[in-house]
Amino acid sequence: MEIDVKRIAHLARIDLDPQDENTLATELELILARINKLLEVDVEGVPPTFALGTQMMEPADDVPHESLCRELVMECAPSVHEGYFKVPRESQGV
Amino acid sequence: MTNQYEMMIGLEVHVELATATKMFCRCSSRFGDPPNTNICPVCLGMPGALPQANMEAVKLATRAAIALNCKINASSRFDRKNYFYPDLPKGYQVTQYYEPIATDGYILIDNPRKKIRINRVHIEEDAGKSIHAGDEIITAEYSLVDCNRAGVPLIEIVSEPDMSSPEEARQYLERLQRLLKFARVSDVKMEEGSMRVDCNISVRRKGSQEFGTVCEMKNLSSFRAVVRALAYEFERQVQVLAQGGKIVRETKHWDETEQVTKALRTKESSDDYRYFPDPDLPKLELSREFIEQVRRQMPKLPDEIVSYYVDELGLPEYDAQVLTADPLLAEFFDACVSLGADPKTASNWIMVELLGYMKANNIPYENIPLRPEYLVSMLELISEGVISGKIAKDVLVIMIETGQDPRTIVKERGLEQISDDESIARIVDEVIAEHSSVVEEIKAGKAKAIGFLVGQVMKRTKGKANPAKVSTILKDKLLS
Amino acid sequence: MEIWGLPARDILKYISSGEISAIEVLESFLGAISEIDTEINAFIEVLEPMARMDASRVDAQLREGNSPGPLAGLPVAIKDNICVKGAGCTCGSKILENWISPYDAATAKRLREQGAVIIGKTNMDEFAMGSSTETSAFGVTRNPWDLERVPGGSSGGSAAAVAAGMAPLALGTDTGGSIRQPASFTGICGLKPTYGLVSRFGATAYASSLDTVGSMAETVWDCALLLEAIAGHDPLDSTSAAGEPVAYTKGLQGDVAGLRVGVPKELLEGVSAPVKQLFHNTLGTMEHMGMTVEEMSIPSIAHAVEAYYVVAAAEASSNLSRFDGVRFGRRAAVDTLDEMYTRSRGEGLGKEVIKRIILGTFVLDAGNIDRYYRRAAQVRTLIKREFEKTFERFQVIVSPASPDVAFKIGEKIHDPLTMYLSDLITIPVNMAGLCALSMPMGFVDCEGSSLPCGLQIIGKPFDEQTVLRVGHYLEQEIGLGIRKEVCAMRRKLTPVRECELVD
Repeated sequence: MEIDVKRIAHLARIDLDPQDENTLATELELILARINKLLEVDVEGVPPTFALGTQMMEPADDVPHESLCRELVMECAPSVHEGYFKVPRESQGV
Repeated sequence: MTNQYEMMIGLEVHVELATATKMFCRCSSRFGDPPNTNICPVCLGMPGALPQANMEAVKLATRAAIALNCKINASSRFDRKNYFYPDLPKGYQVTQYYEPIATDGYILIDNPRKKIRINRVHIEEDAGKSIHAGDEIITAEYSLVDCNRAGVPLIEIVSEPDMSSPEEARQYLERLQRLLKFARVSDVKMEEGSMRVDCNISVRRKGSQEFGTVCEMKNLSSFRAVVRALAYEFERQVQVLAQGGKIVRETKHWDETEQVTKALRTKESSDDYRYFPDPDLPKLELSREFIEQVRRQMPKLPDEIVSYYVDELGLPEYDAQVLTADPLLAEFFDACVSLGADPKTASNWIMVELLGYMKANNIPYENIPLRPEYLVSMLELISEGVISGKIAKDVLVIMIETGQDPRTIVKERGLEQISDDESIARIVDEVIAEHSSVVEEIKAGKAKAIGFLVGQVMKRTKGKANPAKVSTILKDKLLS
Repeated sequence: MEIWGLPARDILKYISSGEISAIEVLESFLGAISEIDTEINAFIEVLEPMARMDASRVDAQLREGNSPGPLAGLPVAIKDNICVKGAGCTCGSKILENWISPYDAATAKRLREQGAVIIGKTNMDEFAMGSSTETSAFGVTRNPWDLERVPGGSSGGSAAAVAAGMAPLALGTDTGGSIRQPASFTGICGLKPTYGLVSRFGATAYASSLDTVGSMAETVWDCALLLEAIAGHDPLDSTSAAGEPVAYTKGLQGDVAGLRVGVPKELLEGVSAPVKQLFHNTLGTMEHMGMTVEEMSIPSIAHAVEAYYVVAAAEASSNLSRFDGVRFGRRAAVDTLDEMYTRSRGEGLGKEVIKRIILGTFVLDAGNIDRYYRRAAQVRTLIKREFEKTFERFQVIVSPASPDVAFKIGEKIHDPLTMYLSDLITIPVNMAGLCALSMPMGFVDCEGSSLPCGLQIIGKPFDEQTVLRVGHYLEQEIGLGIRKEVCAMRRKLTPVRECELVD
């Protein structure tokens, strides 16, 4: 099998139960078989197109705008504490 | 045993750019505001938000690159570094991985005289700040996230592993900090986190051609911590190697209280960041005119100022170096000179008295507690003979503490020097009368003893007599 | 007079002549929604109070003799991945179920500034990943032409809303065909603009280098009107193109005779026989109108789907990392940081989204990035180049907008590859950053239903005007017949209401 779904899922921080993992692996193998056709294309010397448009970046002036209202943002946050976003601790040890 | 081994040190320094707003949004980048009060959809990574680069940040990064003798890349690009951490709102950091804004620079250090090469300078955005309740990461119950810092513009300056002792690393850092301060790129404060240092160290047996395994050290909060952590890590690695052990490639963090390095649990290795070009940002193209303009607008850098002080003002190299420790100090000195002060006299007073006072009272350079025109008028009072140098030292402290100008201080407190011949002669006569044995010795040819009598006159006048006049009058009376 | 179901152009006339007020227009559409949408499920949220405020403001401006703007009083439905301040923005996902946007997308802001009334947020495939709205966390949207069938996707909610007459105008997003295919499935017009013409600011990213925001409406004129309102440079979107605003509605009248029309044979592969038949009839009409139609080839199109899935998945895997349960959105009840991430995302994101994130993470992984991601970007260059060459010879390129008519709910959801391949016709346009219009070209009888089927007219970058003009001319030839069918369909949906036949 080409895709180590468990490792990739952890990189993407997605919890999968073993059954989902299997289904996903099968589906991804199918898709990958199709995608592997790309390897047949001759791209020798072809520059990649990562983004469209030929425009140059137009950086903005360094003038501050008003901040979002903190209370408004906190209302939609899952867990808060005195103006901070609150998250569980990092798990211990290795 | 350690003398059979050598170390190679490379430094990665993050510096916050002195902009008013963040790298990709126009939230204020101010330090020290209440948590989450400088936030917007962009720096919070909300659905739909897109980055817009900060012109001033691009300018400051270019300026830094020029100051560090780098080659500026006319075209550079932003990439995404993907990883998960609560203080990283988008789940990726925008940085320049594949095509940085500048490469191939260097910094010169003095002892030993050596060129430390700089591999690259690139622009990136800062993460937010995590506060771990309970302080120690390992014992925290939960963490709190403040996004005020998320998106603040940084440059990362990556050196080659050209330093071979902690002392060289310290010099490199001091030089780098001073340069960036003078270039007005950043306030480079380790204690506020606007300058952060990560060290890479590898150790090998002297004469070996192979490179040792690189260990990275983080959490270094001062130059002293850098020096100590490097020294500690060198000792540790030598011991491991000497016993035939192997160095494990790992990230360590410096424990300031225990003065040891500890392994940090890392979940992602650098292979796991999935760097790829950020499709939300077109290439950053810098025109020749832009780069030239930045070059023209470059503030004077320390080396240039030092040679001006030495060659044009006639200061000793030592003085010139001390005065260019900080741009605000150099500006203070320049102001004194332009107000007519003799450069060497001004330098002496600044280096000894002013800096002495500031050091004793822990005053940073940005709060120099004295106006240059006051120091200059104090120097004038000395040269006019109104006060003695000794009194002037007191006047300086009073100026600092009251904010008054020296002429007022001298007048209100009656500190003027006694300069009229009659008054001095009267006191001289009293002193001669009281020290007849010394007078005899002087008359017998021991001219040096006159100094003692001068001291007695000064004591009696509480330092206000003009010492030169006292000496002349004494000599007149005793030796003619 | 019934207002709902009328094209925008007619509503505008009535409002500007003072015959009806913006609030009357709004109430008519709100009434239609409450009656029809229980069956269709086009809307995730109807913004009643907000829309009433918008409409009252427009009426107040009209009373004071001020112009509320070119969209005065026109209700617009907005796909639920485009932010509207104070409204939810679920992106069809459980993970954003309770999030309220604190800001307006650039397009939403422009609409309001020009007098539009934002009537509601429409259903979609989760994070725009899908072609049927079946991956929405809020239930499938049903195709008004046949309630057993999908409306297409991912902008299926917007398409169904317009088709059923619940909104005259709608915004959609198109990353690989998400405006054009649902437009085709529901018998309306949808314009995917050139990448960079319309600001993406505030439109939740699926694949940043492919995403576009575009217009959906019953007629080409209406589509042009909406495009006019949302197009234009936006400094907040660094990929937004500079350029002067274009009055697309005015430019519809130019001549089309003599235009050279290319038909790439690669875009006809896999097209069903009845759709092909309809397409050839349409080509005949175009020739009859004086255009030259020529079959030709764009070979690199053959690799567009593979390259698309690599690029889109890669960008998506990174774009969707922000849904982590820290600052907004759903968080699973857990004790550790690692679980907060993995369970919040594992439970909050749907299967299709997870699949694409995993695929994207895989193709960007250290050992694979050159093999897949970089190579796909190179193939993209090849596609772009071939289209550039093609446009030296042709003014527009045409194809069906979908290989077949709307499929049945549940028919393809478990067959990912077929589903992906059905995008083959639309994907090359996004890969090359072109513009394209999907407009109805007729109907196909299918198991007792008469189902609409769209024509795709592709133009070179920033040549929306030519594409719209061709569409407009064609519509004058075949539009009336389609409008009749639309009215019949709507009468079936809600027999008590009348559907006006204008013109």
